[in-house]
Amino acid sequence: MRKKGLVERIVMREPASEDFSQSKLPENRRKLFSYMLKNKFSKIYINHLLTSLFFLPLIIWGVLTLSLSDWIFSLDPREGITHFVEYWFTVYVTAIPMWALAFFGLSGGLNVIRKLAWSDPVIIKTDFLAGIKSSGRQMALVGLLWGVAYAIMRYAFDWLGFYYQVFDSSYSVIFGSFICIFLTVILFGLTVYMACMSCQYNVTFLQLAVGAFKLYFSDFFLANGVILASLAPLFVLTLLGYAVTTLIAYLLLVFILIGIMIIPMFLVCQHSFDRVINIKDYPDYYGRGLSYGRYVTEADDSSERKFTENGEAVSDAASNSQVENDFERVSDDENRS
Amino acid sequence: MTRIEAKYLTKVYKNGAYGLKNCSFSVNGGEFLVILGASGSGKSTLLKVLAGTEGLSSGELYFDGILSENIPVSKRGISMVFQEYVLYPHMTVFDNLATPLRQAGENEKNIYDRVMDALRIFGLEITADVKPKNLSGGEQQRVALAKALLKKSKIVLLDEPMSNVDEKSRAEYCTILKKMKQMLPDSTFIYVTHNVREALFLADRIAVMRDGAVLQLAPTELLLKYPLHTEVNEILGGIGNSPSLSMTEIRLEGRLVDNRLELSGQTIELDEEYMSRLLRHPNRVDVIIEVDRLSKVPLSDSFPLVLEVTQNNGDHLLMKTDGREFVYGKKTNLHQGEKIRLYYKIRDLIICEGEDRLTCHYPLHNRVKIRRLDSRGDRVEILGKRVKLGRELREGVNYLDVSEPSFSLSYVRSRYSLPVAGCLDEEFINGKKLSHIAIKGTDTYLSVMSSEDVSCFGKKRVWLNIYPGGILN
Repeated sequence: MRKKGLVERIVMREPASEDFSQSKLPENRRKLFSYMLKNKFSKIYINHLLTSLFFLPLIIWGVLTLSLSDWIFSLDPREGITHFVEYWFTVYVTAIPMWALAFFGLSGGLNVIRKLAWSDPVIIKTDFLAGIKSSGRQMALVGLLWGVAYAIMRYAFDWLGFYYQVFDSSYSVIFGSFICIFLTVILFGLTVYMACMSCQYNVTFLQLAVGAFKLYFSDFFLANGVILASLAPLFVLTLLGYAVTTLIAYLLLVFILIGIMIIPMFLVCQHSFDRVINIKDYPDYYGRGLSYGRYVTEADDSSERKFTENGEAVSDAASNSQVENDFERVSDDENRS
Repeated sequence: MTRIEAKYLTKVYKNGAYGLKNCSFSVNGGEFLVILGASGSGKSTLLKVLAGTEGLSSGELYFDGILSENIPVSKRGISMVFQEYVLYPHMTVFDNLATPLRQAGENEKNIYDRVMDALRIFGLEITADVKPKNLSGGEQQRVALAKALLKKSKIVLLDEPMSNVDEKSRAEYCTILKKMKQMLPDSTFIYVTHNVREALFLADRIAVMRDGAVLQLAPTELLLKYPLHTEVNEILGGIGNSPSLSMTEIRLEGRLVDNRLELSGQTIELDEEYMSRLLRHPNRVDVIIEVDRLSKVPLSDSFPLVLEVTQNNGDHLLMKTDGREFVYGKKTNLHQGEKIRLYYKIRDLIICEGEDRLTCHYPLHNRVKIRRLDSRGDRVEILGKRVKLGRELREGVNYLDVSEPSFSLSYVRSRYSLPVAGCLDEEFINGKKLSHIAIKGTDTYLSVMSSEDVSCFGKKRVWLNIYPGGILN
């Protein structure tokens, strides 16, 4: 055997000592997350770029309205409260269709992430479009509802802020603000579950809402922990309160975060789906992409038929097996002559 | 189905070593040919030449009758599976298989279905989204095979694909390969190995190679029953019979008078081109006809040969003509005692004198003109080179044979030397080498006999040295 060169050895490495089997897949979803980042980063990143295209209007709108937010909160609260509805409408209500668009694109992104997590082969463009085609409309509706809910929550939260400064600085107002944050977290969690369900199961919107509600609360603490941890970089940067850090947060979103953030969110949803639905109703989905999951193989041999249809089927003995009889025979008389 | 025909393939490496030496054979379209031989016998070189990754020093290679030089490598429809793993390390197994299909412009939906089908056939569906570094050697080779299957290549070349695979996986791999051949009945498979068991399991026909040439090419069973040389049996690991009957050639006795050859009771008039390919013209000659060259159909310039069936063994015949028995590897319903007529062409005849082959591949141009430069005749011009003979050249000598001792090919330059500008072919005849070389300023090539040590295809410059002493003698 030819000796390999240094570059060849570094690039190709030695082959594994034994065949690849399902037992070599990650054992749990935490390991699956790092496995995906390590082995499939290029695909994750391309998927991120495609998904963030749909988030771009929302992000641009967020950047453009940064000055408006700075302006209203820099005003005297008594004056600020008079401009509050106008501000709220401009920043949050206008963004609602943009949320719908972002979620429309997210349907493609989640479909790609799903296939990557399940260790299925991915053709990014095709799978992204397939995701949009199968669940784009439902996801746009989820996005629209989330946009409305977020606008309402922001209205309540910001209004309570002004109220606290202008009218009543009691603890009950602060408590009200916390309620708003809490509700926003819950609504966001529900939205995440609805989004992940939508890209995986073929269900009506009502089933989606009810299912997401049940599943989310079945894993309430784990789900919130993972979702908040995924969003942590954004929280840290925006809560610092500087325009620059907020801008950095938006830039990070555009350049990398969207595609990465959705993975742990998707994986925690998968965990809940496995525990509650898949184990009973969708055994083929149970533990997909993990060492203990069931790997689905299509047992039919249609592939072979497909290949053989193009040519004549031949037996084991190949071309030599034909009996030849078209010889020019010579009679004895003819031979003598 | 692509038929491959190789004629006198010669490959000389830069250091002067021969990879192939006048290697000739043909592969039928859709057959599984296994090339068997020891290390260094030229198997891999032959495969690389077929794939177009190595150029030829001389010889002709035809794909479906079209000279290989006229078919770009990319258009030959060849897939190659090497002993090393040749998958893109940065791509997943799926992408490795899908890339050629994408390049062919196939739509993604079809690509997905076809790739997954192929992976399923090779038991690799679980590895679809895995990078090659995580696969075992056997799996990587199976991916390479799947790639060839997907391309539906006309020719699949496999260069010892199992050399890095453990013994257990080899049997499995062989079975998969056989299955793959059944799925691609129109593809021609050429498989290189030194493992006899693999060869016997896979091959429709086996070509045994030694020293860069094909010693024997025959269907598997016939090769075992009728090995042509003891070397073939040695390479087969001694499992074949001892050489007895020839199954590749018919040897007949003939008489050569001028340009007329008397053979099997008929007189054949050899044309000028054929006569110019003969090294000598002895009266009693042996004529060899390769069995593969015999045709059932008469053509305008072909001659009949009457053959009697002496035995039909089911998958081959024993036949006799002029008292010489040989093996004919065809399945027929012919009975013992029946006579048939097969046809050969003049150009398929190889004339020998005893064991010495006299027929060359190309017409011989082995005479050069002498121009006298002075009245005394001791200064002459040969091939544009002025040569001082020192003594007067005999009157009437106007031409010289380009042969030793007057001429020789050498790496060392002498006083009167001409550089060899190119080489058309090198033939190995009876322990010597006949080189058809080009010399600058001459209209045609020169055919020069030389020792086997000097290669005109190598990196070293070769000189045609002229020796006045030899000319005078």
